[in-house]
Amino acid sequence: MLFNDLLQNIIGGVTVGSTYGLIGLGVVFLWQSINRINFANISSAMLAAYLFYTFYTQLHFGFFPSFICSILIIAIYGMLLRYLVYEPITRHGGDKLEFVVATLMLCILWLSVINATFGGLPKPFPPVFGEATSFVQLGPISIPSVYFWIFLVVLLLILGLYFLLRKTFIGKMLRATAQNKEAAALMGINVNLTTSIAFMMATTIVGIAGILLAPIYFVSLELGGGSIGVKGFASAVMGGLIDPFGAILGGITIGLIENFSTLFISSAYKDIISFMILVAVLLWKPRGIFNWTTKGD
Amino acid sequence: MRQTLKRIVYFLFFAFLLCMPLLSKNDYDLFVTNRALLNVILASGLVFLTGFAGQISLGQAGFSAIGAYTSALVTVKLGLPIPVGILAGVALSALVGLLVAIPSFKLKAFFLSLMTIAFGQIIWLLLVNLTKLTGGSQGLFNIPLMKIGNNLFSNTMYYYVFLAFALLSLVLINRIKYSHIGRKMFAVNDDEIAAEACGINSKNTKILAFGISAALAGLSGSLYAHMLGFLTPEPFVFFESGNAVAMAVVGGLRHMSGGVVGGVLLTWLPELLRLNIRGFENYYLIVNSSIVLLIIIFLPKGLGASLFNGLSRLWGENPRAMTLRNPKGKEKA
Amino acid sequence: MSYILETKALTKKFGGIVANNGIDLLIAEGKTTGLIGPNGSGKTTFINQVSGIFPPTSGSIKFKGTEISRKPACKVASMGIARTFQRIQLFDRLNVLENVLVPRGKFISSSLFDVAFGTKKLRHEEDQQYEKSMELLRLLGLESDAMTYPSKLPYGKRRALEIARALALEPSLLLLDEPAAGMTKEEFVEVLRIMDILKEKKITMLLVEHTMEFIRKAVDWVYVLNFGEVIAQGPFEEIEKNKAVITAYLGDEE
Repeated sequence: MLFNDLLQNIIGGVTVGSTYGLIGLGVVFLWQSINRINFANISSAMLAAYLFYTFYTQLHFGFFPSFICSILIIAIYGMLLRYLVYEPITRHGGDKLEFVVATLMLCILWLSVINATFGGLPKPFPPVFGEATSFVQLGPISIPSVYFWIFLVVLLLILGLYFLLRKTFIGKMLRATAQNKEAAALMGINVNLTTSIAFMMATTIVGIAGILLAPIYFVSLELGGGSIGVKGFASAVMGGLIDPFGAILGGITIGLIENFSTLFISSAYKDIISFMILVAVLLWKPRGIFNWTTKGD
Repeated sequence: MRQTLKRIVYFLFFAFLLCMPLLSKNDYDLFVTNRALLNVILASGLVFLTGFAGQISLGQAGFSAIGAYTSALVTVKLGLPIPVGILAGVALSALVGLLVAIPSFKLKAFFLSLMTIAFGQIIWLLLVNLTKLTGGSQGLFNIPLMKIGNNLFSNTMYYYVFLAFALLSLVLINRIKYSHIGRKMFAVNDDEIAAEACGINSKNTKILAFGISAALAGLSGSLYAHMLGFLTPEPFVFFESGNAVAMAVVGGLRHMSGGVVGGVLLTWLPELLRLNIRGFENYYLIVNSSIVLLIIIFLPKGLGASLFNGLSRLWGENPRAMTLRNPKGKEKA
Repeated sequence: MSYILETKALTKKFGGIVANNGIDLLIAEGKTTGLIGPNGSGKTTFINQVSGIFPPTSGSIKFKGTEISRKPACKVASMGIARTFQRIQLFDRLNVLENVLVPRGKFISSSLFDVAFGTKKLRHEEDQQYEKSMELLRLLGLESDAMTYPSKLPYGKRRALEIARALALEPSLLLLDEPAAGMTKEEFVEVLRIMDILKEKKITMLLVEHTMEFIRKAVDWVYVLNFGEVIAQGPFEEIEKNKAVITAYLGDEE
């Protein structure tokens, strides 16, 4: 194994894995905010990818307009999710399980809608991150330009998130309400607004991840289905469900293990890897592995 | 007066059940009804597990698969009679249920659901990949169908067999619910620490609940195998596990009837939609999941509970206690 | 005098916090022992260890001569130690009678097969436990509420129900964690009356309490905790006058 190959695998694993981590963030944000698990979390990724595809390829918007429009719609979707699904269920006496099943149905619904609208064949992602085969040369290593761009965007996103959560008032609001809703309310924090923000952030971040993953997984139903969804859950679990940056680390771990395991076993079994990691974490470290990066709050 | 009304309604209902085959327009409808009965068994097992014992499972399809393939292999490869196959299917799925529960008992809600999803997926992957044993995606064929002498069962006869099994399953669940075992499950579900302080081994209680619900899922799988005559991994994908939970939730987790209402409704709804919505096949799935989604949003407690509460009011009865049959001659609160 | 419970050097640490530090405590059979101390002195932690909610960091707990410090809560309960909780933890989805029937499951030996086939044995045992449970409810004045749900009961009766549920286990030792907490004057009198009933039945009790007034009337021997350690023990009259105890409680007089 050449050193270059090793490095390439690492870069690939970290890049893709960090997007898994972003998907995990969608789970963490909602769990911290409303104590519920959204099984339609991954749908935001698929929807964002298809929206981007439509704006860019069909409607011929530019890159940025397409991106912004898609993300805006996904953010609004987050609000709708709260007011059309979560709030009514809670009002009518439904608890965690009912929300889980409702979101499961929602996930299936989105898959069916996309299937009906666009057909079941994957669509190629437009070459906005460079042609599929183009490379960026960094010394002796050549990184597919797609990965390069994805990594850049994810890095910016993580830095932005860090800044938001740690340095801004919104971040304080989010962290405070996650820890103790009543106390936060007593401190004058608008818990209602914070909840909406959490919902929107959850769907938006996953949406961005979807657009980033589309070059690799294609604009396909796979983006909104189980195999990637599980990786999102696994990342979130590795972060103990409480630590956003732990989720990112968890995702990176999964990405790395996935990449290296394909060197030893056939890629058809790639999906089992994330399941096995999930089971292993659940059995031995149910509180998560990377649940300390935001300690000392 | 009210008591007689109740007796009449129940009588009519059972008469309806017995005459159902005569009322079906065609054989296909009966086939769907038979599948509905199997789903009643599956969903009731889930109502038992989740509603009573408070444990979530998104992997019931895995247990159905174990029941189905075990019974199929026992009858095909070992040439044993169908009842033995079914027994083996139920026994093995119960055993696996217990085994899955043992490491999982300390997992709470979400984590437990992930564990069960993983279990379901692993079973499915095994079904697809152990082609020597299961026939993989091509399927397992020539599974013996039920028959008396040389006469193969018609859908009508399958109906009565499945009805009997469904009723037996409901009777079993009913008996457990109104016993000290059921009480333990409700207690653990309600407040695990207080239950432990009452001497209840919550670990064993949860494991038992898993075993029983797995057995019921296995039963529905075994019966399915001998109705269809062949098996593929297709009916045991994660979607089916999700569907099973949807049946339990839509039917209502708090009440015995949850599995019945949910099982029947969510088997017939997609069929009715599929036959009546022209055009792209996927449209029916959109409508189906939308309807289920709407039911959960507006009636998260499920339809069965509302139905029975309404009926109870109709014949002037106070709703029963969870684990007590109305005690002999005592005044009701 | 035989001691039904004996702890030696019982210590419990939570990370850096030492909740219980080397507690030696004896509970005499047939008597009521009190455990008092200001808020946060480690009383509930002590009860949690004895009842098996969590194991001690070090030290031993002997119940009727057997070491129980590493045993889980359900085992400890079935061995004969019952408890109530500081914040009442009843089964809200079950009615009053069912709450008491839950621990009575200990006395039902019918198996899953008996249940599945509805055997005579099961029916007989269920009837028996039904009678026993109603007796208990009668004892504590709850029989007319048998079919009511705990959330509909007044606070005082909820406390009584919790005690009834603990008694249903037919325990050799009853641990009561602040039974008089949050009570009105009338409810207070009620609880004292229940204590008298229990004492009449010669039930061995460990009574954790915060308020002196309740202890005065109820106990035979008192241990005083402060900052996780026993700072005094003896009959209540002596404890009342103990300098260290008074200092500990300064400002905490009820």
